[in-house]
Amino acid sequence: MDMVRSEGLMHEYAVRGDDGEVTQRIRALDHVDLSVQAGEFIAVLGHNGSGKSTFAKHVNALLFPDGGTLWVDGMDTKEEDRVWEIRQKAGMVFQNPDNQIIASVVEEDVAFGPENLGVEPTKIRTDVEDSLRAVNMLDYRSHSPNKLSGGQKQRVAIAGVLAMKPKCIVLDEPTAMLDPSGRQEVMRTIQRLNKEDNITILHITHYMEEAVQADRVVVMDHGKVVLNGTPREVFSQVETIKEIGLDVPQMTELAYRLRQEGLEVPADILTVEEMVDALCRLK
Amino acid sequence: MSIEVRDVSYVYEEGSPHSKAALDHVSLTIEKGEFIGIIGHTGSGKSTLIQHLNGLLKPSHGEILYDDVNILEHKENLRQLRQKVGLVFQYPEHQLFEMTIWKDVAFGPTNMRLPQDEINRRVENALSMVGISSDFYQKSPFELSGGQKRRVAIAGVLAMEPDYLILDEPTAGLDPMGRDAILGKVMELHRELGMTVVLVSHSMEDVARYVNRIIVMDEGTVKFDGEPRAVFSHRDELEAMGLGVPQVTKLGSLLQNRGFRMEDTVLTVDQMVGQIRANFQS
Repeated sequence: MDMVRSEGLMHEYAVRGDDGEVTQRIRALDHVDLSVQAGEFIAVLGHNGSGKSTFAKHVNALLFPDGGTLWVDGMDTKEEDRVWEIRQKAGMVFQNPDNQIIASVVEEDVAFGPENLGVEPTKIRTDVEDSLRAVNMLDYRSHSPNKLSGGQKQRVAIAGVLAMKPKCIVLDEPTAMLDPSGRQEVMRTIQRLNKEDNITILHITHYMEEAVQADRVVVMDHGKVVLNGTPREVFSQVETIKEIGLDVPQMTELAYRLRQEGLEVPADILTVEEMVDALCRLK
Repeated sequence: MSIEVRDVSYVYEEGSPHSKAALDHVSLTIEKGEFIGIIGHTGSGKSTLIQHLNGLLKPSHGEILYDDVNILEHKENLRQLRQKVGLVFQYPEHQLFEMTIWKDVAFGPTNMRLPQDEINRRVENALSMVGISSDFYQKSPFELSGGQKRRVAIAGVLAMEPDYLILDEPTAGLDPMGRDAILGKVMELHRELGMTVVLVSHSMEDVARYVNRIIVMDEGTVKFDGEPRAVFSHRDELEAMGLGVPQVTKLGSLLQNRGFRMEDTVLTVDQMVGQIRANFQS
């Protein structure tokens, strides 16, 4: 079953001149056809301005199509009376942890969503506990968010989304502002939610080593999907990816260079361990 | 010419129950002309260290010497120091505030009360150093992309014509193109103008590619200080600190365990291609 499906999805931003008149229209999404299966973990790559964040905002019904259609769990985002249902089904986590936390105590922050939905207080308490446990932050429930590390703050933000009982979580560069250990904390959390709780994940990132962990990688450029496949299929297209201005994992780049030198290593190597095996086999 | 950090400790909220030593007897010297990378996880003391280098923080113990003079001895020293040691904070584009790019970069030199033609020269020079062309001078900084904004913010510091340029994670949050554009420009400033650069980074790959010397901070102390090859040969210790080494460096040491010859610690893909080629030719 499709958790997210788009057909011919279009989005245009209007550029306005000094007098407020529209001087130019920029097409941020250009006929995007993309399906995400329930339970899939998808990484979306693309440089700034490629349309990936615009797509994410459509999934969360923060933006509406200028053409084409997007369905979330079977609901058309153009149906205005279902907006709240869609936003509850597909939760969103943003880049800057400091812009997403509003309460002065961790558990109050996580309770904000369900409180607004009018969930019964005893139920909120158990939901908040479950959510904080799922991101391994239950010990910090009564702490002040401003004393937490970046990785911890992002996990609290994810708990806030979980408390809404979503089927899908869209993360827009959640690790961009974190240090390596914070990044790992967040990736482990996302992995666990996907594998154990079967939550569909759309993870937007610039880090290739994170994209390698996904079931499928989608590469966007100029508002279009240009590559779509398993991490191996996508990253072995070294030349296409470099043309777009993105990185490939360091080991895939090395494999590409070694093949140019005439060494018969597989083109789709992703990790250090695979490279060691491939080279030992040749020796 | 040098900046010397001599036995410096810094304690946050000294005397309170929350007091915490962010720097613990740190000694090091930054010589003019070096390109240094500082790595360390959040809370290791690296940001506290760089804020001492231009006198934004006062050591709780020890002293900072700029060309052998204690920077805190005269107020006048400190003002001059901040022009000579330019500090670019994290997300510097958040500090852009003027109506035009030109005015934003001119802010520092104008405050230095320089003559107008000198201000003009510096602003043009600084913007050209970061690759922002004159078409942009009269635009609002808010019309730019994230990477361009950040380059304008760096130009604001360059317009002070510092001898030392300190950048705190200048590529955080940028896409690979924005990252390469910034680091490429910084490398040019170092190579062509001989500017001393201190780069705080979370990316081992970036540090391995650009710097001549790496300082590793951990729990407020200097854990390693040396050439990239020497520092990255401590793979186990770096991994235990949550930092790690570049992937090719790790590959080099794993291949060595499996009987491959590696002449030295490998830092880049180019070097690795050469090493592997040598192994298969013999």
